[in-house]
Amino acid sequence: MEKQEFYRLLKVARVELDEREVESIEKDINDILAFFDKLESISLEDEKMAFHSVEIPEKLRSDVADNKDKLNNVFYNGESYRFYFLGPRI
Amino acid sequence: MTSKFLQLEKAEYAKLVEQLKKENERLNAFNFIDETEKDGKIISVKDNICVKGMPATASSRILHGYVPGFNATVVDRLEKSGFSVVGKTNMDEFGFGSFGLNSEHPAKNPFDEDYVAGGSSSGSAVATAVMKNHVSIAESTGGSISAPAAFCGVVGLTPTYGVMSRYGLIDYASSLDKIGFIGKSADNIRDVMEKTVGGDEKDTTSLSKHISNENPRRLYVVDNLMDGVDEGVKDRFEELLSKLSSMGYTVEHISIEYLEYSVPAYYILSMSEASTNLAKYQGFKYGFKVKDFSLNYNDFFMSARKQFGKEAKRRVILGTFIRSKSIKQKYYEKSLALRRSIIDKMKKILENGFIITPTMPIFTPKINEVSDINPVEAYSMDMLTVPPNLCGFPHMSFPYFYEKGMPLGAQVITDHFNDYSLLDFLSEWEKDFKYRFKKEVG
Repeated sequence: MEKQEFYRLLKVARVELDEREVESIEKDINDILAFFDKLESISLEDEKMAFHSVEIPEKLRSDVADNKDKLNNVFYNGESYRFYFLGPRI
Repeated sequence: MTSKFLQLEKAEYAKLVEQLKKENERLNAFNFIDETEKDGKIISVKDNICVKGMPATASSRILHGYVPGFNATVVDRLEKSGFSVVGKTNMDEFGFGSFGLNSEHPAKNPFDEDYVAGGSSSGSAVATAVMKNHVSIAESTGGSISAPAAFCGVVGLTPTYGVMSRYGLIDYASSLDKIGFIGKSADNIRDVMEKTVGGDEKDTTSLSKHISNENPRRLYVVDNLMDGVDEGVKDRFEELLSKLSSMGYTVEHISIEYLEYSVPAYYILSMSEASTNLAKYQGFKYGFKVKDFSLNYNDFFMSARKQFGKEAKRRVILGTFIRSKSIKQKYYEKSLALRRSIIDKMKKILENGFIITPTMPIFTPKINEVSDINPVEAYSMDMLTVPPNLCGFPHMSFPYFYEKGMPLGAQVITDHFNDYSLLDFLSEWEKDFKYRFKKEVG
């Protein structure tokens, strides 16, 4: 991966690194991607993809709010105002 | 034999806490020890599983200060059965590690503090080794139960994916995470497992399936998986196979195509999933809080993520890259296809017997021998624990030998939903095996 692409990736991943971290993590990432490239030596074109290792039957729940009485249990770990979390500007 | 746990009256609990605090100064097994007086059968819980009122940090600075207001389903079910949680055990940050070293205060091996405890469920293995009749509730994504169990001389059982509810687990990789057990007797692990398995409406991937115990008394050794195993470990493993043969098992050598590719496929999938799961830590909801609300969202988010350790940053960056549209076919989709292929190939074998391997390809290393190894070398240490984890097959690491005073573990793997056969195997093994522990409290 070129340096410019690495910096673009950091921006997309929203990870900020100091100079020392950039040096070591950029090298690690290139080494790891070379390790991942081992997969290029095999062909699996006709194989289906396994999103889970066992069959998981589709389960749906009714689209109703059933925990209105548990609002305190939602806000206890963050700063809140009325029924909203306080967060940064978007 | 019946199960036996460390069972305490309220008046006895403070003494246990004192003993554990003293041991913890030496071994760093716990991130949190609960001093609130309690009674019952004592268990511990890995720090990425929520226990109401106890801090849950997953050993990450970004979760410092997070105290869940609810129990994970596994904890709820155990508390209703008379178990009490003594504390939260140390681990690699978010489960990212095989040696327990990706933690602010790494756990140390209870046999010798110069050696690693293994990871990521390092503290659960240490806590089990140092407490009488203990079972710790742990979690595995790619080998996080087996590896520390092997290095600490205890038993680690990772159930079939889905049979244990993941509700209340701080996720690493949702298609791979499995809550399981670290203990030191088949009966105790069976008791805890029977009380916790089964579907849960709070986890839509959980399953209510009959769990069998079929044992065809055949062991398969996968030769193409043994290529990178230390020669000394191979010698000891051969001795184990001879012993198991004398117990009536037929041993057969086989090869399973593509199994040696399971490590890169596992890391591709787990990093992809981790990079999305970790996006929930944005600095205003859990644990660490960014106080400056004048920052715009991106700066606020990036500021919070500075709290991640180096391995977490590495995995978020790589996971983000792998999921990008232009290359997801090359890495992510190919890994999913490889998982399908390996599941089918392993399943055909496991219908006729167990697969057996050493748990780890090396003897327990000293901390200074692995603290600076590069990530690819570190990931490659998971070569034996990744295949069953990638494919959701139940597996168990058990101690079978002591080399220069340090324990050595082997791993048996069985078919989906045949988990109890592993505990039957262990019960049989325990008839002629004596566990060794340096010191036990309680």
